[in-house]
Amino acid sequence: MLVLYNLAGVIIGLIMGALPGLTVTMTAVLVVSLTFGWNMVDALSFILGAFTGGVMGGSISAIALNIPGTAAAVATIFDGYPLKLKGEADNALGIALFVSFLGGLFGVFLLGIFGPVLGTLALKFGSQEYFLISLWGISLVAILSKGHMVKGFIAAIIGLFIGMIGMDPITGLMRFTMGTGFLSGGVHFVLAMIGLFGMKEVFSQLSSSMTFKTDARYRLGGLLPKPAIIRRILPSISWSGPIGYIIGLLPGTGGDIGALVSYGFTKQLVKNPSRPFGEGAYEGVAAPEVANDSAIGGAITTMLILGIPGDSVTAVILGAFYLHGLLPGPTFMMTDPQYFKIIIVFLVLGITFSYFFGLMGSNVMLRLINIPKNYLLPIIAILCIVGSFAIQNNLNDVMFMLIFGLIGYAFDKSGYPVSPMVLAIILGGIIETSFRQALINTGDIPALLLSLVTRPYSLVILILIAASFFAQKKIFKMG
Amino acid sequence: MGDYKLLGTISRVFVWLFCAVATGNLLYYVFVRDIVLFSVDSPIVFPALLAVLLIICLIVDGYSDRRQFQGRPAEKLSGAAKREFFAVLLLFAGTLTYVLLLPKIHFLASSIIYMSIIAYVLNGKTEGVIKKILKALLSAAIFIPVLYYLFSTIFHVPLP
Repeated sequence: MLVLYNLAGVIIGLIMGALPGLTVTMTAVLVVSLTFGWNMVDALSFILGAFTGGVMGGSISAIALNIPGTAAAVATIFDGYPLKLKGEADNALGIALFVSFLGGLFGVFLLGIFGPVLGTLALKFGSQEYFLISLWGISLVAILSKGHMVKGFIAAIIGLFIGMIGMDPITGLMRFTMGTGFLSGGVHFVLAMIGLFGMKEVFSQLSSSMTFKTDARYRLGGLLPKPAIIRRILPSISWSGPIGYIIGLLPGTGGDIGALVSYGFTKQLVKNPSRPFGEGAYEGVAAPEVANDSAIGGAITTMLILGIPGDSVTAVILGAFYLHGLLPGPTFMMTDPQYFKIIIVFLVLGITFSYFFGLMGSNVMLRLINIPKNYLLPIIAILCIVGSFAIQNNLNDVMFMLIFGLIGYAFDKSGYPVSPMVLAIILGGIIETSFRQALINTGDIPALLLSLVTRPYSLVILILIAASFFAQKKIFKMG
Repeated sequence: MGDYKLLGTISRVFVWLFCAVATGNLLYYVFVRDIVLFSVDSPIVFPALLAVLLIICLIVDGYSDRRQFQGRPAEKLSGAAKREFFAVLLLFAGTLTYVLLLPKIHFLASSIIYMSIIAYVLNGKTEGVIKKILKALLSAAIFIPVLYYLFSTIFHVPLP
């Protein structure tokens, strides 16, 4: 049964990933909202299947339509679409799916190796380190917000405030409830997730072209990997896998950044590509596709071991884990080692299913791209409504979700990114609690600030924050 | 971006309003409820620091936006943007009505009505009205029972 849940997740993920405009994050939100009543292991199988399928599905429309199904497939269009124009659509998708499969497995392999090592290290972290790591995640998402860094920080701070609505966990004081019972229970982070990622997307899609049309077809035989092409792209695969994993590890960055960086690296390192980059180089398809899938392993490592989501998708998955009673963080490897193994198995299953169903179902997914959006959007809206109602069987929650959707739409169109806000709502509790614990331990704010540089681990994290801010600004410019 | 200047203004008004409400709440705790602001176990020390940060960010953001738009003539909304805003507001109002009707009418009936209307309104094709209505009704009559079956039987999701 668990395998079937995983398979169902993969199929939903592949379809949603292939449909332009429906992001992996949105897919994750919708599948999470379906699993409220499930037991934890079934839900994990389903959600992780959808995650792996969604990332792989993005390349199907990227190559056929020149429109990435997901953000992680942005770099795939640089050479994937020119390959299609040269009559090699089968080769392009064949490479994309095969290397995604390899990259995904490589990322999970590294997760299996580094997860326990990082878990041991994370046990030495105190409240200062926790505070800094959580802050790192949010601030990196803010800084990578399409060049609107200050707006990203504003969105993050608003998210932190929203996360504080309700009872203070330490003193029991009701905060920011305006004296109403309506807000006393706080705002559930899943509502914010569904509204800001799901419903917002429904509103945003109203502006884009109503339906994509494609008559492209893939030949199953042509999608199978060809030895001559594999030999050619092997060097690109060898460095793109580690690049994707490492970028996935960094809090706040995910497969999209990994794919762009890997493409940039490959462009510089491969002197004699099969064709010039941008004109259909096999290496230009392989590099981003390996990286965006190996980033899955990296992002899950950070999420499980530190409790910090690597990107918006893992933020949603982290929320789902909380919802089902699983608590990722430094003690995760000590308290729930069996779930670590289960997650690895589900990821391997999901990546394998995604490859085979991506091969066999690519034409079906191309047909689904033709579904008019006027049918698709109300269905997604209904899924968002049912998902937000299912949290506490309360219609007020649906109202909150709708309001979040409208705010998300207005924010998105005016340059305020919504990802930092969602991340802040999810991580707000950890940030505040660790900050206040550190404050109680040190006595006052100057002493707390001093402790951040005198404690070896927090100093290392501070240096990492400074270094990654600098590095990611460069990465962003590359993108 | 000009088309979205209006939404930019709405967003800015929202964040400033949000900041004012949050700061007002903090002042209420300090001056009315006599909660100490700067003590190690104060429940409002963290939000107070955040409020200061938010105000700084808003000032910087306002200044950079002003510089960006300075000297530019006021832009009128294009027809496409007007249509988009109208569609968003229509969808929001429609969805809100649907949510309010859910407890009164059965999920199946209200969802079929909701989907039919949205599918009809968003149908941009130049077809006859009857054809559009029939297509919308047919799609809803097919999709919604499938969704209902999936939610209630397979996923065991509680429905409104």
